[in-house]
Amino acid sequence: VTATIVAPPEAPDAHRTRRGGSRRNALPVGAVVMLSTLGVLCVAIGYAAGRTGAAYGMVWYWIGQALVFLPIMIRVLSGPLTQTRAFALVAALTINGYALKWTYSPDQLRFSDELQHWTATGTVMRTGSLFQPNDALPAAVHFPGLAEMGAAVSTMTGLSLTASAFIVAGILHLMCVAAIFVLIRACGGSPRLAALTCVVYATGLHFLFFDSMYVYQTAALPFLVLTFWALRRWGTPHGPIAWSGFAVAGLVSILMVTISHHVTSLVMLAALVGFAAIERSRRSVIAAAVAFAVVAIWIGAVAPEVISYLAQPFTGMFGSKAGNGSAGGSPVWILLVQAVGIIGLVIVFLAALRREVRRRRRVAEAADDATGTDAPRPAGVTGVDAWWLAALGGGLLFFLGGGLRLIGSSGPELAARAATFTYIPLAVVVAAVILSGPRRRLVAGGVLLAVLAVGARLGGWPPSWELLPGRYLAAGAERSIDPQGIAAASWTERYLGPGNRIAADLSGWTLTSSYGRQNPVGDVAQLYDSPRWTDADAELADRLGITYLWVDKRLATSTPPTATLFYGDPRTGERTSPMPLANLTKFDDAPGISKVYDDGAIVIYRLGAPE
Amino acid sequence: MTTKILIPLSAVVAAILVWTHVPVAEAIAGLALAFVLPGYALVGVLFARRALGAVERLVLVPALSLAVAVLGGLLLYVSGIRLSGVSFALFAAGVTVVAAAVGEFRARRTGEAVEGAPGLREAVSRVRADWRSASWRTRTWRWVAPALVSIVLLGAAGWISLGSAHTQERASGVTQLSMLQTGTGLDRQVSLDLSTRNADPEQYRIVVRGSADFQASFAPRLGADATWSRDIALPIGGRVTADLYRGAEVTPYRSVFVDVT
Repeated sequence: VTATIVAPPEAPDAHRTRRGGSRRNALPVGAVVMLSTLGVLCVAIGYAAGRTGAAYGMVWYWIGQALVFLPIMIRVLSGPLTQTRAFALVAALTINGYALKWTYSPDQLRFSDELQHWTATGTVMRTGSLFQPNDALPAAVHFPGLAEMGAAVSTMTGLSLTASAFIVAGILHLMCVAAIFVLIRACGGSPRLAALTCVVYATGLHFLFFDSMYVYQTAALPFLVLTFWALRRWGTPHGPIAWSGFAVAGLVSILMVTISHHVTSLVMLAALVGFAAIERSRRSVIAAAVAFAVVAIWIGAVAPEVISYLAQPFTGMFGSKAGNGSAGGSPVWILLVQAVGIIGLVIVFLAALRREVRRRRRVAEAADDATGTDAPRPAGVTGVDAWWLAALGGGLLFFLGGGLRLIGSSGPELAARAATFTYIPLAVVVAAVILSGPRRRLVAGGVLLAVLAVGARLGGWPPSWELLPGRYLAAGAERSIDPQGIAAASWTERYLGPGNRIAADLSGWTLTSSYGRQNPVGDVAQLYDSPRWTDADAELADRLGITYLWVDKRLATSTPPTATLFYGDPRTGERTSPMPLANLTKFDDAPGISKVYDDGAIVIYRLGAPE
Repeated sequence: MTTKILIPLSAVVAAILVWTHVPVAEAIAGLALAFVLPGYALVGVLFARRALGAVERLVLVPALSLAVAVLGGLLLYVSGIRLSGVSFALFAAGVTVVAAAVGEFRARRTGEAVEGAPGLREAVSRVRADWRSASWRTRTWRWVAPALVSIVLLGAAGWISLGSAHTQERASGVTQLSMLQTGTGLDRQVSLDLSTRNADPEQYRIVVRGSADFQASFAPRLGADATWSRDIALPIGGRVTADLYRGAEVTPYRSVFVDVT
């Protein structure tokens, strides 16, 4: 099977050559890259202003974001590209995007998910062993791929764990985008289509942060794409050595995904099974069977606990409104911007579907004309056609996954997480449709991508209220990971030892589980929600096995931006004012409680006498 | 040449540098072993000369290198070997040497020149040819200047961000007072600790009060990033309070208490 192009084909360059050839008029790639990098500098200035509380920071931020994205997008849309130039643009967009993430917090990891994996990696380095308990994220214990990468780099280079984490995450992120590029090329897409697919993918909600954080999904994503690249290339004739090479590369990728991340491994399995059902070729069935065996063995033998862990968000969708510490709902105007982008995507997707239906009808009519209507039809879909159908199917899943937003408290987060995967095939479809039309479609496509990029910056991560880093904010995600909190959490590890059961608010939970290596407890809002310490509080603390209480008096100084303060907070959405100070100082007068630590803002109490 | 000698030799030298902890060289060697050398050698073994394009090789080299670290780490763990810089490095170097040897063996048997990354070399050759054919002015304006400016811009962005982050951290001084019971019964005592992360030295006063009119005072002077500790024996149980004062202030700046048994 010889691949030609991922359907539909790109439009000829007639509309460009009529105007004298846009390639000649287009900006040189070097200048485009330079402009994009200038955007990183602007955003860095915005971040620096944010740290001092200067109001002009946001102006620099948006100028920078526009410069990072728009020149590259416009250059890709404006004319044909050689593979080298196309990849240079994609690499620049990815590197600059990662630079935006790094400059947000250049001295240390502050995102709670990253800190969980930072802790896991530190445990591997400290113990020299795998599968050690990690109270910060118990599920990650059974998926040590990222921790091994980080530990290997840090121990071999002598660099700090934090620096190694930045390097590993950056390279994995670049690998992921490059893998998408080579997958499209392997499917016969032009360099320009491959580049535009990556540009579209860069407008995803999670592209700038979750997909480039030091988290286990970042480790698994590039290998997920490489699995499909190997499957695609496995079918192309290159002699026995290359044949086995692609098979080995595919197997290694399946193993890496499985060892690195539970959700990605299940997505990989589902996607391979789905693709095998579409293509019905021997290689796709073998790939799906191998993936099934590897994932089943790993989850069955190494990580059986992950099944209940993965079930939690789904049960939460139909359960209580208790918060899980996520960013909460977005303002209406941000949802409107995102809605405009989604509507644009729907229109593009429907155009692709319509074109596909028409094409299939034409092919069927031609076949009927040639063979007669009674002739048997082939059972499966072969070659590039199958990949295009898979892209359309994946794109459809993006919209179906978006429906999760409307269901329960976990819905928005689940929808956004699902989009990380389903946005890849949708990006292929969108890029192909944009490039297959006349010049006005390129312009409309550019506008759509710009809207999507703005929507992603506003509705992705970090949330709109902390687009810029800044001073401490109560329950403010990265804004509440400050030197004071880090110092207090580090004190718990040094003076109390690891593994103590400690009640804490959201940021305290993140800090004590990572820097403190403690075993934080959720569902503790009751302990903080009244101005008096009652017997019921003492009973709850006893039942949960709580030894220490983390009390941050700064919760009384600002309103939590997500209107939630604790994991499993029953008052999620209702915390629209600062917590009363009396709720936080009541422990001073409670019987049987010792105040063992005080730094002016954070106080740590011990319940009962030491053993 | 590359697969035959240079790659396995580099891997061995890199492993030695990791083992001996030579500053800077260790970092470069570790990065090469983590992201380049094993993958480069494996690509040479797994794929024929013209099977892959340059970008595909660029992706596969770090991907397979990281796979060696992860799958190798699992193998070491199962074998009961401690995961450390040396074990990771030796494993990665071993895979590189074996892969290079297999590649060479296969090349001799099939008569095909299986090399580490021919697609990459061809791409470099193409760029070099383009470079030579372009005029000096074109080279400078189209490639050299944008590349240099981009590097400078990224460096400036990093410098600004790191600088402002450090300034923000320095501005938020932390003074920690803590007290923990470290002995019970006849050996009852508490451990009192004071540490600061303030920029300037400061004079403090700590007053410890307990049952039966027990009282003790201390006057530590702490500089930046300094810690002061004292174990205090207590004659009797009950609540012990430690108040920290700054300079001549009369209101406690920090306060802790412990119910001693």
